[in-house]
Amino acid sequence: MREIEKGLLLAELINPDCIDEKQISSFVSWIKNQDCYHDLVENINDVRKSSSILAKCLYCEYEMINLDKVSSIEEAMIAYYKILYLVQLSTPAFYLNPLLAINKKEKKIRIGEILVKFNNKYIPIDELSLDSSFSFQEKSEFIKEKVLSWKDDVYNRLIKTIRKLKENPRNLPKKRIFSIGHIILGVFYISLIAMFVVTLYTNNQFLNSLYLPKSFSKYTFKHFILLFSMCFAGLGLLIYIVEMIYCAITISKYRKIRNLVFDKEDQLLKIIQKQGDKLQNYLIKNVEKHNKLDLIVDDFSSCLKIYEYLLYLYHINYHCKKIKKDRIWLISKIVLSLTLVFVILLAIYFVYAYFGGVK
Amino acid sequence: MNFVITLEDQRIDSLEDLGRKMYLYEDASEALLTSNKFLKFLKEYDYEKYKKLIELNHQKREHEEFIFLAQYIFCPLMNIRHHGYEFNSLEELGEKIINYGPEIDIYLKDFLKFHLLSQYMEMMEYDKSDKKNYLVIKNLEKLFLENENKAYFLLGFILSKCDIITYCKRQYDDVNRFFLEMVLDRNIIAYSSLIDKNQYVLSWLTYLGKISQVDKYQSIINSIKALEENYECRTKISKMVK
Repeated sequence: MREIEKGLLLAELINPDCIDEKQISSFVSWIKNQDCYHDLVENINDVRKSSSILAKCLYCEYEMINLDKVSSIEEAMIAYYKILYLVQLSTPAFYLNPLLAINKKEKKIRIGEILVKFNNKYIPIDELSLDSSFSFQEKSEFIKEKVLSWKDDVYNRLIKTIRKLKENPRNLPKKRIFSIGHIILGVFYISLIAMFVVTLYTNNQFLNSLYLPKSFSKYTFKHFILLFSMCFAGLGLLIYIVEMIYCAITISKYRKIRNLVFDKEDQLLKIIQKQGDKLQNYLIKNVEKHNKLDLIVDDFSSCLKIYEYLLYLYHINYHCKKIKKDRIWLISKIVLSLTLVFVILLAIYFVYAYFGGVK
Repeated sequence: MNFVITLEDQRIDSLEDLGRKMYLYEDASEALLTSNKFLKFLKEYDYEKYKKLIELNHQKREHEEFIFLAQYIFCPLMNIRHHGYEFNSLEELGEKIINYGPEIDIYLKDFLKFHLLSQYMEMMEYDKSDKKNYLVIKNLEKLFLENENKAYFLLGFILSKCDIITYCKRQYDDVNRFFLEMVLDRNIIAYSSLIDKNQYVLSWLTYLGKISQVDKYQSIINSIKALEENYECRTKISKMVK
């Protein structure tokens, strides 16, 4: 801070009319040229991308600084103060929650570099570990409280997202790979084909009557019906199998995640708890021995998996609105319809042939 | 019993005269009062004064304090005298401090630094007759431990009861007019560096009752200063690490 602004500040506090706009704008220009301002503008890009609650608070604070609207030396001083304050906190080491680091930069930070507020000062965890002026008991209690706050932060954020997802249950329905309809359809196709195969190999008379002529001109109505029935039955079964495989792949992932998120909140809690305990044990063990903490945040970010599950469901919820009927479903329904038509025609023919004596 | 004492080139023929002139020849006076020859003489000449001097000598005191208090042993009912300065009243002392401003006289600072003024008031029993001023001075002595210059100039304004500040040989009795001139281009740099270096202007404003503005100013400046230092320190560390 230049001495001139100190003098101007005092003058303005006593006699606000003695300051002119030129002096204020000169000070604002000076602030904008400072390294701390440039550093803050650079850091705030990462802060904006972070999912941490502290990062969001920092970003809100940053947005409230508007150097162009400053109308007094005092306001400029307060803005400068905020810039200095925020630039020192806008490092991932301050706002990061190590149990839920999302971006690459955050994941590479060492646990020892994370800033914590201990004894009214922000210090890196390494410094806390190496400091011998506090007892191990004080430090371990502090660590337990801190890890608990990180766990609560993760849990609250995730629960908030889950509750938001549950607001629209229609968008994320329970899906089964094998519904009753699918099973009946499968049985139908298999029975139909089995019936054709069995009839072909056991009933010679029928076989003779079903014998498809070599010349196309000798084909009769019954030959066409039979041909189409067998083709569509075979095609239908093939498409059925393809559809089942496709469902198994896409829906099983969806089902697994949906079940975990919607119905097994306690399992999520266990994951968070386990990860928190792992971090806590690591911190306490090394703080007791006054060691530096060299593991990186990525080693403790298993809670990130839950976050990824929620993002997946959020994506489906936001983009899909409902589980779409895909093309394979459409084709399978068309084939099924045609198969049914020709099978019914074939059945009608045989009934007529049996009772009517058509040769 | 007749005697002659020589302090540098000055002949002194009574203890009272010695007390009156000690403030002009402090080093020579100290040498005299701590010499065995003088103490032996004093023991025979005036045992009461001898006892007081010995008691004073045995207490742990700075040289300036010792001389100041010793002079009143030999001349109890004397005005304020210290290191070449003589004041007939507290107001005169205050005016001297202000007139010397914004410069600081380190010998005038001794009045607070070594509690000379409060001890003088106790000796003269002004602590009972002028309790208000006595308490003010005791408070300023405490403030001196936190902020020497502020206590020093406040002492000047309070004792002199003067609202006027003298700056660059001009006197200002109006706060607004003072700052209107100070923010001009020709004055701003000198005035701003003055505020930073000593408490002359801030003490004047405190004396005038602008305490909230002064506190606000100091709070803002101190907060920014602390953050700037912290930021520079962290920047240096991160550069070293890279």
